[in-house]
Amino acid sequence: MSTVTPDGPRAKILGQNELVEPGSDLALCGVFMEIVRARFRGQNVGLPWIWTDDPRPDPDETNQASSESGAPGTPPKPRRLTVETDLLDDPEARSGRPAVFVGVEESVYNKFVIGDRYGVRREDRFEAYTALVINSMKIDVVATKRGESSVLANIVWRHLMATKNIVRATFSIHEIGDFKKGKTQPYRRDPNHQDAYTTPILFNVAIEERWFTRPNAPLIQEIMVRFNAAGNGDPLQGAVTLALYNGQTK
Amino acid sequence: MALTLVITRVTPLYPEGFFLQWTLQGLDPRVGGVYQFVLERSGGPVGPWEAVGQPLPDTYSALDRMEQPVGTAYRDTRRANVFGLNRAIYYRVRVTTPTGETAEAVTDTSPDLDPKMAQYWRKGLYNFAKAMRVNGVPIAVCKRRRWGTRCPVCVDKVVREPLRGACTTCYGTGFTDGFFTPVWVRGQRGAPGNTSLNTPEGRQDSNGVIVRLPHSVMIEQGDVLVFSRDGKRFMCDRQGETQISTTTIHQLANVTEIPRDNVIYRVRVDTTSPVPMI
Repeated sequence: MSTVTPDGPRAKILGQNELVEPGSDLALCGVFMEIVRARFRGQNVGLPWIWTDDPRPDPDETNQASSESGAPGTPPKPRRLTVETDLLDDPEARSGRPAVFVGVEESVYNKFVIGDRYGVRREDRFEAYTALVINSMKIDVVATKRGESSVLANIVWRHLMATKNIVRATFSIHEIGDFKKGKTQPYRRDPNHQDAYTTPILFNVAIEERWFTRPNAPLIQEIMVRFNAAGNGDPLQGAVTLALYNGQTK
Repeated sequence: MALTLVITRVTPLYPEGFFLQWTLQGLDPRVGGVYQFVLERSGGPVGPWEAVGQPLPDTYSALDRMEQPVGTAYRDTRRANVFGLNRAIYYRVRVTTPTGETAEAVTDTSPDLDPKMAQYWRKGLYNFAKAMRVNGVPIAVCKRRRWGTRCPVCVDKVVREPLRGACTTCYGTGFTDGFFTPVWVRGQRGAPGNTSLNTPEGRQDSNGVIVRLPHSVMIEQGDVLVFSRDGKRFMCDRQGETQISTTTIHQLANVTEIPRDNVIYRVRVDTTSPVPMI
């Protein structure tokens, strides 16, 4: 069963915690993390990297793509790839390389209609609003070799571009765009780490947000007026009368 | 006296290479004929060795200009070079006498000492070795290959970049076999410096320590140290030396522990019967 299944027609993976709102940072991290994992999962023909939920390297790993020559009759076994959200506090594979980390940089509300107004219902002054939330996503591809970081980032970048329409339709995302692959840079968070290289992939995800307002004071005021009228100035009597006679006076 | 080959001097001629001179001791004056010498080069003191040029009949010196090996192209094979400031190169000279007797000698490229300084130098070596008998542990030094046949699996020959950090053919070095033959020494590893950082790339563990090693195998950045006692493997980051008259007595290496899933744990080092060789 695929793990890239939406939780309804919303930007959230099925099975995510109910506190994670669709379209929020963690929801988007989960969506794109699963999409990247899908590229490297299962029958991964032609690539020397594979993602599985077990991060331990296979003892028989040859780190060759299945299209390359290996021992006769023995298919080459790809190398484990780490794909996680960024800032994961306790990953199983610490300092795993190569690795792909998915994160959200920032989110901003973007106005695209005057007053953000979507519509109004005069009867109860119910007003609906809409705006686009632009989420800036960042995916870091980290590897011990510059060439590996560059090649892997290229694969991920193209995969995201190629699947964007499917992802938009599946997760009700307004737009995914502006894919930018940055320069491969040396990377070393800690002096006690080995050298590594990172290639950033940046893109925007726009999600349409809607909300409404409905004023309660006028509604309550109207109720009080009807109670007073039904009870000849006594709201309590009026409430009883309305309750017993279903709004009909004697 | 048995036949002995002594390498008397190694003169660096940067940026090209080295000039070596040697002599024979214990010659049998009754033996006449051509003495055949072979000069070989390696990145580690126990090989594997590669021949430098043609055999040298009755020759007692040679200049290694580090030419491109015959029959190879630079895209496929990188020739040896001394461009790294901390490059360690070892030479072996072998001789075959007209009667078939053989001898050989191995040297690094460190300079000579005058006799008095050499005395102090030997005393320094002795003191260090004595200290390591108590506080030292067996360490296999895996010298990383810096030249040779490029990995046919993962290296892009145009840009000459390895494309797989976990290649099991070159172990991420970009050169076939990855490392020279491991050399066992006795050294001291300092206390661990374990840290765990929460970074934008998730939590990462690291461990940096200082290791004291003898002079016999010069450590470079990227070399791997294997500790047989606990199976841990460290990579050298920075190297320093204690010297007398610019000749090394012992080394200090800043090393970082290699993550446990790294392909370097696949480099074959027999840790079951470590025999200090140097």
